[in-house]
Amino acid sequence: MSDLRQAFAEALRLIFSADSDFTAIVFASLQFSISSTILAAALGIPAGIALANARFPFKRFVEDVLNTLLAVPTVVVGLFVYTLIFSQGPLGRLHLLFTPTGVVLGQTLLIAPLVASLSCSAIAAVDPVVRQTALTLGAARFRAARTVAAEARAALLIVCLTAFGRVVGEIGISLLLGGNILGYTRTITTAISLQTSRGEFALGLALGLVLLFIAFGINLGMRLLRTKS
Amino acid sequence: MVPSSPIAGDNPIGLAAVIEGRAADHTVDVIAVGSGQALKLAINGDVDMVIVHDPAAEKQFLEDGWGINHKTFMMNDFVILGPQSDPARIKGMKSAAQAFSSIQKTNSLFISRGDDSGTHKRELDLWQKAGGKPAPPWHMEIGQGMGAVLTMANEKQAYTICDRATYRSRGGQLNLKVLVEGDPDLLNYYSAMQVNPTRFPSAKNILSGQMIGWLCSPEGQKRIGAYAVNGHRLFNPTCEGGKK
Amino acid sequence: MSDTAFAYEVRSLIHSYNGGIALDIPSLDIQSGAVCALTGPNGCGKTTLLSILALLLKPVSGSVRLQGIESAGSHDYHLRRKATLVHQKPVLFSATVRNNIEYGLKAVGIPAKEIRNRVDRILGKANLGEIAEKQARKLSGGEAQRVVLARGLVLETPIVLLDEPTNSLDAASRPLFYNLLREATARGTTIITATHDTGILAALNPRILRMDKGKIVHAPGSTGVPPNAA
Repeated sequence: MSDLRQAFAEALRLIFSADSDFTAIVFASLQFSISSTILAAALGIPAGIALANARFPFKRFVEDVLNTLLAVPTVVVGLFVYTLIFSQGPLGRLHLLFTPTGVVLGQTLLIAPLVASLSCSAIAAVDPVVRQTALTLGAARFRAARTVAAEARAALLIVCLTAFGRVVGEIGISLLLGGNILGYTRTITTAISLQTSRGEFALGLALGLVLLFIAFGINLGMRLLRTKS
Repeated sequence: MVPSSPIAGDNPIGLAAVIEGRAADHTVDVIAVGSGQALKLAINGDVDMVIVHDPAAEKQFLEDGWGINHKTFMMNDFVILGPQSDPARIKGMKSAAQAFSSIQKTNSLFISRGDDSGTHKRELDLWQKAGGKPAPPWHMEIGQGMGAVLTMANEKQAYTICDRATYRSRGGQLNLKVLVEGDPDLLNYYSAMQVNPTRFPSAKNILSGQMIGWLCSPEGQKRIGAYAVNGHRLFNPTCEGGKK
Repeated sequence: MSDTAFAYEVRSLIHSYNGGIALDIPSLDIQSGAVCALTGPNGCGKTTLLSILALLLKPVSGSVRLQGIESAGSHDYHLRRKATLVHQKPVLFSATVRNNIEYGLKAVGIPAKEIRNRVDRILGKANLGEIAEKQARKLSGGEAQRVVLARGLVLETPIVLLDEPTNSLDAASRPLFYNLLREATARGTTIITATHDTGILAALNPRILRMDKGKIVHAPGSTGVPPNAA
């Protein structure tokens, strides 16, 4: 028991003294997660808007495929990207494996369907009269779509926060594609996983606390956005 | 019903097979971890016996009274691996430390286990002997086992240090060559110890003692010496009465 | 200003929802510059007709000509801009009152200076000057309705369609609104409004189109030319 307390105290020390290895790990996690969230938003939000506004025969099918992609485990996404980017893969020449770019690529692929699907729902939830109003006031369909998206601003931000939350705590992709390289691709989740299995609690605890804190922050952000809309 | 007996060990591929092959009449769980962690598990009382290859740590372990019955029972060697292109020009060097120095001077990529294992300790000893402190970005610590290190070294065409047994067991998968070998600094001695029964009365004392005894017995030594993967022998038995 | 005799020529218009007939209009002509009031009980099809005339809704069958041009469906962008519909329960955008009113003017690409002039003018006429910079979603019912009407009328489109425009309008503001409508008709705007507000009927003397169960049941002979038209 005193071992646990010692580890806890050491964990707090690591956090508040901003130990350089510790901060490098936290920074890497945030850097990858923010980058992939931004990329996924850039791809997924327009896709979601397009899907919400489109009417085509196999729309239902596309939505089903999208929802299925949401359930793919991170290791599967990681494995898929691994086969693309490792030295024998089609993109092997780019040397993306075990680099931050590789991790961000995998994470973006993981959450882009999520962003698209949730954005589509967010847009569909906007009062249809908004679009009608935009159109009758003279907007072309593209501007009307932008206006509807603007009305769904808060909901779309919540979508981004959701995607961020999904990706900041994932390990399958970070480990497979990143390789846990200290100061380079070692993230909170890979470090927790590999340090703990070596019996070193303190760093794992410290990182776990940070991750909890991040999760709390995300939820707080979502609540504020919900009450605003 | 015979109870299980966990052994923690820095497990070069194949050793587990040898041990489990022996343990026909009781269950042996071989937990494959680095030497550093194996000793930690022993101190925690999670295992009955360890097989490690970190002489300095073993000495400390015994001095602190955690273990007894230390027997060095086999050895092999480490080799320095690297890409065919050999940017640091270390191929054929007789001194491992000099090779490391050359790698550092050229900032060539080097993959390190970074996990307190025997291999990692050896690597650190060599950096010290080479007179430098390796650092990112060319020196990459990945905190994982030899398998992961080899995969990454292969992917990035980087240098690394590896025990010959594990390297051989990967067979033709790797596009890495043995560039430096034979330096006495690269010799790798495996020892077994059992946890101190006075400290851990519930440990399976007798069984552990028997296991260690068998490892050093002529039969055990013969099996160790004979074990081969892809036609290559992995270990050299070292106990008296065994082959050198 | 309209350059054809008819703002709308509707033929064989049928529309249905979920198996029920919403509209069944064999023929309907509305002259340019006319003022019409659609009356009838709830559910008689007024809103549906207005949506179709605004080219926001495509009827199941039939044809709609707007200023002599046949409506083709979803690519009616230019045609759609000739008519503005003010919905029954209108929605304000999440922006200031001024931004809301500017929306349509910006959408059609009117230069910024002209936008400012027009918006300032209508803010005055609708008595919205004081709340011009307020967030539109925070307004009272009456204020919001004034903004919505201003937003539609500022565009000065040849056709204006209104669906129960004065329902949430406070009594004090109604005269302001009638004035705006009168100005529009003076410009030659065609106005079609679903309403039972006697004030509008008195102010504009519209042609009455009574509807019931999707059909136009009574369209008395008044041509719908307002009392003070040129």
